[in-house]
Amino acid sequence: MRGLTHYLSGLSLATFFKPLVAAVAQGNLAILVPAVYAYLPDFLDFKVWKFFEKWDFHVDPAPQEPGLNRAPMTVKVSSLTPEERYRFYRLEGRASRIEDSGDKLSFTLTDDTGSIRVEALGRDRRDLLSALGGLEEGDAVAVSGYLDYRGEEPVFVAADAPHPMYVAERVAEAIDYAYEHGEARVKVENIRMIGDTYRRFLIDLDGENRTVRVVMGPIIALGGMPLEEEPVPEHRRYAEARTRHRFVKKYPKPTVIGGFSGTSIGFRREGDVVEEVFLPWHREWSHSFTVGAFLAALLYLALAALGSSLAAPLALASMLGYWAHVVEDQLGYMGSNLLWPFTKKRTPGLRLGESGSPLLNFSTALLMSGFIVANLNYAVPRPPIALPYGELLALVSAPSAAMYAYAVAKWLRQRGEAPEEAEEKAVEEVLEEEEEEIGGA
Amino acid sequence: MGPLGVVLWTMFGVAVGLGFSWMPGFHVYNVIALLAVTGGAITFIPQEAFPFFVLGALVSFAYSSVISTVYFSVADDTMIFMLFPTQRYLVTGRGHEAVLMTLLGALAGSVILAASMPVMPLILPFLRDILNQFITVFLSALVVFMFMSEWLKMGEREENRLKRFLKAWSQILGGLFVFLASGLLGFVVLNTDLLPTTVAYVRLTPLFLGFFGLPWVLVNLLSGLPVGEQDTSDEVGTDWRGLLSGVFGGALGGYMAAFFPLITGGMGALVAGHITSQRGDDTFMVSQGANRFIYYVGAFLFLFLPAASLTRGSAAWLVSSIYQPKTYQEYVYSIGALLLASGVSFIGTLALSKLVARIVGRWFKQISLAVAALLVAIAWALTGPMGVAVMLVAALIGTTSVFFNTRRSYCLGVLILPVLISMTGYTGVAMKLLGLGV
Repeated sequence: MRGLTHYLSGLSLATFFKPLVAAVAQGNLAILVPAVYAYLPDFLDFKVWKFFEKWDFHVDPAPQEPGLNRAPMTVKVSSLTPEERYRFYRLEGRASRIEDSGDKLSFTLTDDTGSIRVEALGRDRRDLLSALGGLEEGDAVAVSGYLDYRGEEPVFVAADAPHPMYVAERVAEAIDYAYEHGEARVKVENIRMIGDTYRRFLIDLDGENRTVRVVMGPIIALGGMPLEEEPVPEHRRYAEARTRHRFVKKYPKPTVIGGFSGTSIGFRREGDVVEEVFLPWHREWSHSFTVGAFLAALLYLALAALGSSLAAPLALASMLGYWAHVVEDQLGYMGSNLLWPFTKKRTPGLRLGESGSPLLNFSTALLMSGFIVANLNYAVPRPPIALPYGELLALVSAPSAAMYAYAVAKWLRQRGEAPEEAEEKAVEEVLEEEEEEIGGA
Repeated sequence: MGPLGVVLWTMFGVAVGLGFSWMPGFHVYNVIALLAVTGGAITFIPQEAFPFFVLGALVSFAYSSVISTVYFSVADDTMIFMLFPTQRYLVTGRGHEAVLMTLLGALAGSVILAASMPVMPLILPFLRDILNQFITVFLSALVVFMFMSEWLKMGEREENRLKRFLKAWSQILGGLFVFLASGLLGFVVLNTDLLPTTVAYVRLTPLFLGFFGLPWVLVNLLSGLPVGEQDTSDEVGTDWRGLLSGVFGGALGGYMAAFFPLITGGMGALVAGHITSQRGDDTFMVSQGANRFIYYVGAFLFLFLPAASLTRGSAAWLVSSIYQPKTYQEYVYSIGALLLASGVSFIGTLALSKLVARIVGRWFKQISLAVAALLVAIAWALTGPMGVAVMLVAALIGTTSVFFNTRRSYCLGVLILPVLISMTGYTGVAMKLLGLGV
């Protein structure tokens, strides 16, 4: 479910506790704590745990210029070692030995640390000459591109993106590492360019052919809108790297890395094969009943130590709020690690609908809003709605019950869907959750 | 007053709204207040016609103010969430399309509003009696959620995990600073005579111009936002699903904002967008159109409900002090006037958008400079030199959100914080703490 639906559920559950509602009249807003607890599992993942994840492979195809937070980073010629091959950088120096065949421009760039041959092909030649305003012997030049080799000789290829081989080789290496060491976590950074634009690329894991494919896409705006029509030149658009060991492709669609942030992929060896674990830091320990109970117990102890009369109802409501989050997420595809640390893996969800499903979110939010109205109706001295409590609860639940019934009927029809389709939806679900975190302006 | 009078005064309101609201910095509330109260318009507008004049002005404002947001990056508090998506459209030459999508949302909003008016008297009084006592809870809940749901953009590339975490969290702390600083400024302006008491009805104007207008114009100028030729064809890149989803979410948010005092259209849209799980810029823009329409016009229309008159929003308060509609006939007229004004405003705004689109692509930098000067001039004209000073402080705080890479909507603290302080009964304490006497 979406964050606000969880949050609303927590608030709604709190209104079932009369002492919490009564406290509002005294200006006490403790009733918000269960709402906070209900959002906490995602908060812990996206605002805390994500930053403490340990990566075995940090794949940054386009390091950023310090202070400017955008690629390419300006480096010296001497820093272009073989390990830097294919990464996106910028060089500054003087041009000499210029050769221009009309389709290929090449020259030697010299800075205070050394020299390197620069090549610009096709569209890149045109763009480079246009950016430099022509090129003469001895001119000061700044060129972006990546290091490559012609035989043994290093060449700096003028480009507006890294070569996709950098990512392909490292992801393939991570898969082999996971086979040999049991597990590997890879962080693939995105490519942020000038003016808050991004170079989109995608990673496709082909388990059948033991191949990792990477395709460089267009420059896009933050929201994903492509900003250029010409495709990336063919010689730097596509790359593939082979793995030594078998791996299972769990998610049929390629992983797309665009604006906002990069992604994290886990690889875990299961028997004789490596399996992909998408966003391995999400919906693990934080989305468990055990952690919910533990955090509620901590709250109780803290409030009891302070002598608060609300300690018990607040802790109980907060635990229920936390659990409501776990249960609501379990209606979707990906599921959660329900009894961590006693369970080690996520328990797949009930597949009633994706977490971003408008139907599920709206029906749940409506139900929770209805509960709030029903409970607060009896908290005012002369209840404005003069219906017995049970009838009022039934009345406010009816629309949501009908929508849930529709979702269940849909689920019954789709029960036979292929496992890979379910896996795809599980990944889409978690991607949507991450997208939601991006928030508004 | 007969139907002809209703049409006449409504159209007069539409003309005033269309004439001013597309210009950056001109909020319809200020225009109505200036025209009606200080400009002496009341002397020639019959009292019973005044609600219809305001209704027309509000409807056209809900439509035409989108031009200012899309082309000049100047928003009010309800449009602050709109700026990122519309700027994306503007830089890719699709500003008119962004306007059109928002207008479609507003048009749908007007139909929904008109259709729902008959059932409102059956629901609203109950909800008002139940929920109004808990408004502090809902407002506080919204603020807490805004902070908890902040997306942390920074920190991913720091060298170790602790640095990543600290860098990321500097954004949340930055957001907190922006919220508190905005709130503090709002509190001081609203509770002291920093701005002359004679301009009480436009006291918020320099704050809004400073928080939601000037920073964007300055950022556009400094960053050299590449705005080129605009496509003015009447085509939208959306489908029925996106349209319906946007209208539904927007209407929901609009009703929330219209019904709950102090919850603005922007906040309502945020909540409804989450609840209805909206995706995509197109859906978002449609929803904002519907949301703002229902927020501004719906809140005002509650005034016409014969059995359950609710006074919501500045325009309703202003009108109710002059004339309170009482009859079912006026109620029915208001629905007709709403639809008429809506249709005319849709067509008028569409034409205005095409005109502005042709100009803005060519002289964006010059227009941005002119808009910055206009905002300063408006603040000066309405609130004097101190108003300009307040606007500049607000702009500084608004620009700080860019520095911290945090949500600009935290500037809504300017309204939320003083209201929360007031509703929880701590105004006196806060005044004492700030050394402001009492």
